[in-house]
Amino acid sequence: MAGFIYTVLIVGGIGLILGALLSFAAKFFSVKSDEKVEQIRACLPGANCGACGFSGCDGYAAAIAAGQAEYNLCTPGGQGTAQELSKILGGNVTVVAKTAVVHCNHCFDKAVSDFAYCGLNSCAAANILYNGSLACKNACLGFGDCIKACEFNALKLENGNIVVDKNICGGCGKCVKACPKGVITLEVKCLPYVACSNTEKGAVARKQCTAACIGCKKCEKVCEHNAITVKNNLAVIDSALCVGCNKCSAACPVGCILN
Amino acid sequence: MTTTIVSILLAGLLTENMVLSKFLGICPFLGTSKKFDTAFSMSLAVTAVMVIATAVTYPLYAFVLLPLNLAYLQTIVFILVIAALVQFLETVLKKYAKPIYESLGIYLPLITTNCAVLGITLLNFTKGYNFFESIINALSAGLGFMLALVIFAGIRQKVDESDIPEGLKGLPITLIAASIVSLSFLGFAGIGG
Repeated sequence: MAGFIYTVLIVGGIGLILGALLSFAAKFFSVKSDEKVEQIRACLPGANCGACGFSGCDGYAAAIAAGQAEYNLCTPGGQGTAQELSKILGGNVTVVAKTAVVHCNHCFDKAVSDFAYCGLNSCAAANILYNGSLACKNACLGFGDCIKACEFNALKLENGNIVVDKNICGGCGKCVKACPKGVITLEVKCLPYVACSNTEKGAVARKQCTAACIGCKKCEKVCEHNAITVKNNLAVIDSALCVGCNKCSAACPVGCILN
Repeated sequence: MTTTIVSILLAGLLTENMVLSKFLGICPFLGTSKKFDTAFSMSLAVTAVMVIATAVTYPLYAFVLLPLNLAYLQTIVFILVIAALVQFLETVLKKYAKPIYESLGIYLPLITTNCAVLGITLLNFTKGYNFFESIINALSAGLGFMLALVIFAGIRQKVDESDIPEGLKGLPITLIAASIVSLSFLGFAGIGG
């Protein structure tokens, strides 16, 4: 009987002491959390993608509250988040919706290979060996490092091509960093883009890949807003001038301007 | 004295590795070994908690439970003490050591009911260690946990890059890799006496 009482006393006593200790600790060591930070944090999408340049959504919320960051840095949240933030903090900001774009459209039947690569299943590894096995040294290697980097599953591999789902892509730019070839950039949503990065002259480019931009300047001539220029045998679209009429994509003989 | 310390250290690190030979703490072993950084921070937190938990539970056992003939209560009392201790540690760190809290804080709730921590505090008595040996034992078990996690994080990063058959992707290949690492640690049996 005495043992039973001791047992209850010891376990109950230890529980009581620890409970008291914890509640005192919660009182004495409490850290006041800023109400503003929590309000801001509630507006953010919580993707923790790091596109804003801070350590996740919590870090960004703290930076905004401290006045060290703009409201419009959250790309996954886009205009909606920026508007909600400006409601809390005052002021008005606009966000241009951006999406990842792959400047390569080779498919495996169009691009010519120099040799067969059978190493690690990663673009970074394949790129180390003679800048990849394809003849075009600027081409997408198609092992999908960008797909692995994407936290929103916005990228897919179709016929050797990386395809971006623009409805899902929030433009966080993780794929841009993951690509060893630099064929992915962030561009304004809904505008045409050049799906090629080959800077060789027309004839050479054509031999390397039948989908390559040959620098024929047809797009340059057809564009009414002077938004396209051919530099280094490669068409470049200036998104500030482009109005999205898509005449260039219709005029391109190799079909490397896509929307 | 020195030989005891060395043999305890070797046992904790290699022959009686917490994760790979005793199969305690498998959950964080599989959960936090995806990346090197998280594996390292997690095992640092586990090591710290193991040492502090041993320092608290040893006197409790020796001066309270044992004299009252209540040694059989050790499991439930230790669970209570360790859970409260980790919570307390989290609150204190949040207040006074913000950088440490930010890097290790998210792992502390995971450790609250970690069986490796409870395991080491109980094993100290099964082995009949004194206070000093118990602390060394906790430290070496924590370092062994770190060794296992860091090695395995490296292996997993390699595995992620390789071509794995569809049916084995994810957890299955991870478990196979874990069993091979565990087998290879069996080879250390006998080192350190």
